[in-house]
Amino acid sequence: MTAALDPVIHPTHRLRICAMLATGTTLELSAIKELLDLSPSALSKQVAALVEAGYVKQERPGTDSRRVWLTLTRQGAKAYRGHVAALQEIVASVPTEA
Amino acid sequence: MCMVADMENIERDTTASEARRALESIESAQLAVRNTPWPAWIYPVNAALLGALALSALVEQDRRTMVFAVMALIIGINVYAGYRTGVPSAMPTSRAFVALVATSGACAAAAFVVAEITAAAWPVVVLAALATAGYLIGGRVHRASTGARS
Repeated sequence: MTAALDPVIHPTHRLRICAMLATGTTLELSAIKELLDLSPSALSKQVAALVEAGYVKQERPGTDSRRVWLTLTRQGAKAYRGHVAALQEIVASVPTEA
Repeated sequence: MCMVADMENIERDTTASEARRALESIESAQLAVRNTPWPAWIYPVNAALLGALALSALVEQDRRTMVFAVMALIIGINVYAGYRTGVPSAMPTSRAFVALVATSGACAAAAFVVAEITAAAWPVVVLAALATAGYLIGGRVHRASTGARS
């Protein structure tokens, strides 16, 4: 195995948050909350773990401080790509049933 | 050290079916972002602005200023709408919508070529109408693809 699973990204909700940020580049926290159908406290817990690991950057623009925007950092994007590659390797390592 | 141990544990404990489910959840999360509904008002506004862009080929004085103004308006309005929805830069999954937008843009661009070739105004007007209609049809297709009510 060359790629590695990342313990920070591994939980489903964090993986989905990273997948969304990898697709949308920058997303508003409330849009992620709606798409994931998570409670605000559950979402902020997951986001905090990603921010703490340095994988996600959280910003409040001066024009509207109530809106929080999330972006994957370079480190986060690299960890996410590695995690996805590791998942694909795990799936590829098992022959599919006919 | 603890992080390395965590990695070893999850790699040992993650089965192929779990990995497959994780990959499926990634795909559904990405589709959800790309299929986020756009505000209903953006389609007629974009369609009208594309038509206006094509018609600006008929303007003889300050055509460049007019073209830049309309293009800046298109970009500005779409950036604003993107930030309002919280998903400013995701590529829609609907290929039909993307193709119709590209066709509408091509009609607007063709209007400038036609205006150079002929003095008649009607071909430019026809291309402007095609650009507008193409975008409006694309808008309906996109709205249906996002599951938004029309």
